[in-house]
Order: sequence, then C-alpha cells, then structure tokens
Amino acid sequence: MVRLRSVPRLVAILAVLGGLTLSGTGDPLSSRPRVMKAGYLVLAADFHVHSFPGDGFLPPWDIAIEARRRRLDAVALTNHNSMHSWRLARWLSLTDRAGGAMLIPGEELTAVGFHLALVGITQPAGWRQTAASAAATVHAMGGVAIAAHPHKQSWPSLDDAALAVLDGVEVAHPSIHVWEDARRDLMEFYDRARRVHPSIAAIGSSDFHHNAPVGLDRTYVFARTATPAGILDAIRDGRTVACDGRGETYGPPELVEMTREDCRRDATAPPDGETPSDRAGMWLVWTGLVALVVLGAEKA
Amino acid sequence: MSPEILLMVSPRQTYALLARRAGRVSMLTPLRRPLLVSIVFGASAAIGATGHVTPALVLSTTICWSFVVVLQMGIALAVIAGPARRTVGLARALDLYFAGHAPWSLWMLAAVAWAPSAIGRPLTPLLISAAVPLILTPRILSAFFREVLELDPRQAMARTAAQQAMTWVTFVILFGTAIALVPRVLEWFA
Repeated sequence: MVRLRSVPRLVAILAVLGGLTLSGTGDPLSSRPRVMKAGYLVLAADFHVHSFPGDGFLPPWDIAIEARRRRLDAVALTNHNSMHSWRLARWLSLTDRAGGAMLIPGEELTAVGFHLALVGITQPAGWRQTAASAAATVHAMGGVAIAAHPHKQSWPSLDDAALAVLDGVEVAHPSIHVWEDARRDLMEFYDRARRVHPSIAAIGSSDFHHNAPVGLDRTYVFARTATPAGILDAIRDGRTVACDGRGETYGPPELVEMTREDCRRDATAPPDGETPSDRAGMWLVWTGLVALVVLGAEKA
Repeated sequence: MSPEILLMVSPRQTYALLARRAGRVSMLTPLRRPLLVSIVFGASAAIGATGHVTPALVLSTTICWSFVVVLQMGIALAVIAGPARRTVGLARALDLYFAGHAPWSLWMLAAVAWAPSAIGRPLTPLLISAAVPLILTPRILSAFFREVLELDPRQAMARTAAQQAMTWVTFVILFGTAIALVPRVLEWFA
C-alpha cells in the first residue's frame, strides 16, 4: 500500500512521465520539401553551432533533429578548436540520423584576435596562425572559412589579405539583436569585405550553445545538390543569403528578393510539428521535477 | 518541509536530525539523489536548448550530462570517504551529501524556465541569481561535514574548501577546454 507521505512524490513522478508522454505524441517530422529557385536548390543552413561534448548543451544527433524541427536542412558542428563532437557522433554512427538535418563537420577556430567558422574540414586547424593562413589550411582540406561574429575588436586580425581568401562573413548573428553596436560592426565589416572580395558569401548563423534556438539566424544556400559538397560550393561562389531572427535578409539583391518571404516566415513560425500538447508536456515535466527536488527523497 | 528545503534554511539542525535517523540503507540509497540530479541536468538541457521534451531527447541529454554527476560523486568520495566510514557509513553519507544539491537543481530549473534569448529575456538576471546557490552550497557543505561526519569546525571548513576547490578547478578545466580559454587569455594580454 502506498504510504500517505509518498503520494506527493508519486504525483510528481507521474507528472514527469505524463509530460514526457504528452510531448512524445506528435507526428514524426516529415522530410523537408525541396525548393527550387533560379535553377538551384534552396537549402536552409546554420554554419555555427556548438554541441556536446563542448560548450553546447545538445549532442550532434539531437541537434540534427532540433535543426529539422526549426526548418533547417544542414548544420555545421563548430566547437572551439575541437572536432570531438563530430567524432563522437561518427563513432556512434549517428552523423546521419533519419529525419534529421544534414550534419557537416567543422570547428570554430578560436585564435588570438579573431574567430573563424571552418566548415567541411577533416581535422582541426591550428589556432596559432593568421586568418589568411587558416583559410589556406581549410581550403587545402576542401572546406570553407567564414569570419565568425566579426566585431570591431577582431578587425585588426581580419585584414584585407584575410578578406581576400575568406569564403564568407557572418552578417546575421544573435549579437546583433542584443547590441546595436554589434549590428553596425557586422554590417560595416560585410560592406568592407564585399569591396575586397565581391563574391564573399553573406552568412547568418545562430552560434547556438544552449538557449538561442538553433537557426535563429540562418543562411539560405543556393546549391546545385543537397550534399555537403553542394553547400560548400555555393558558399565559395557566394550564392547565399543571410537571414536574421527578426526576418531581415542580407546578401546579393537578386537572391535576397527570392528568399525574403522565407526569412520572414522562418523568423516567426513555431517549430515544425509543434503542438499545444508539446508545450503542456514540457511544463508538466518541469513542474514534476521542481516538485521532486522540493519534496526531497525522504521525510523531514 | 523536506530535508532538501530545510537544508537551505537551517543546514546544521537538519543534518543533525538526518544523521541521527537510523534508516535502512540499501544499495540504491546513495544513487537516488544523484539520479534525480542527473535527470534535472538532462531535462534542463533539453528544455533550455529546444523548448520541448521528448523521452528520447531527455534520455539522450541525461546520459550525456550524467558525467557531471559522476565527477561530483568522485569529488564527494575524495572528501567524505574516510570520516563517513567512521560515522554514518559511506552509502548514507553520499545520499545526504547530494541532498545539498537542491539549490543548484532549483536554479537550473529556474534558469530554463526564464529561457534567456538574443531576441527575448536577458541573461543577466540569471547570472545574478546564481549567487544564491553559490552562497548556500558551502554553508550546506560545512554543516554536512560537522553534523553528519562529526568533524570539528576547522576540519569541516578545510574539507568544505577542498570540495569547493576541486569542484571549481574541475569546472574551469572542463569549461576552459570547451571554450578554448588559452587563446582568449592570450588575447587579453595581446
């Protein structure tokens, strides 16, 4: 027989289990529709995402599913000077999870004075080098180098020699929603980058760690094929549009025109497949856990 | 009120009562509280990062982040093993030690409910509110060493300091590696 003092704990456990059940009842995610514009496949991607093990909360296989829920086709795993997360996913054979977004190996090169999102690489590039030489290292591996959140303090390291060989610039990044100075910095840097390197790709990235939704800022890629190689080619050729979390677009005007509505929709629409029972289930789990912590494991 | 809540208010009296309580200690007793802490970690990661939970997601994040709880258990064993064997036994001591995790567990759950975002709520209130578990934890630990492990005030303070030092050094090493601390530090001096 259940003792009376155990009843609140039992209710709390049932709340957690009930919440998990409620949240897990939605339809499985369907595959993303392929959108063709101007003869290219338009793919939504986030090229700057942190994951576990690293300073991101989610392991890669869960990021793939979450990215798909947020209407992304591809995600680059870019932990600081590390590819352990990608290697863990590969070791567990979870780099290509059914129903999830495409995962692309990468790292956030965290060097003295600048950060680069390196995408499509096979091993980490050393951080004791200049931005231009890091870009050359990445190109030799078949990857691309993107200036990550190029705020004013990084400009001395991201000189014209670097801009000439970089493949992309983050122009939409969560910092622009928090600080007006950051928005100005990134716009000014993008303008300068285009003067030095007219076809440099406009990139939108969420720099996802734990709270900002993955894909908050994103990139629309005009790719020939829905593969990592096709995506990297599109970045090299500058066939991208950056989209920020408020629905603003940046990039070549003809491509911006084709993706403006997609960006507005992606910035405002709830995640795919989300139902009211998902939210209710989440809060039920949360309430149950708070109750379990507060009630403790034994009587006072 | 539960011991977890009473420990935040009057840790010495609560631990004194708990230590005197002769309870049956099974193999699972020292695992029940760490298990709850692991689930709190996993669910908080899932809620904070995605805004939703599914059984598969929470299971995955709980397994991934349980390494933190394993490290906490390792640190606990290093500072409590000797005196615990002479007093309440290692299993009961470990169980009571993790009762002191409630401030951080509640803070994590509060943090994900606040849900800071670049286009939403600011992060600063969360960082400020972390002062509460930061202050409460050493106080609870010190009471644990005095009342449960029956150490004198000086020894209790030394073990509390050792536990906090090991915890924060481990945190700095892990977090520092994850964020590539070395080039960032060099940047300050550049």
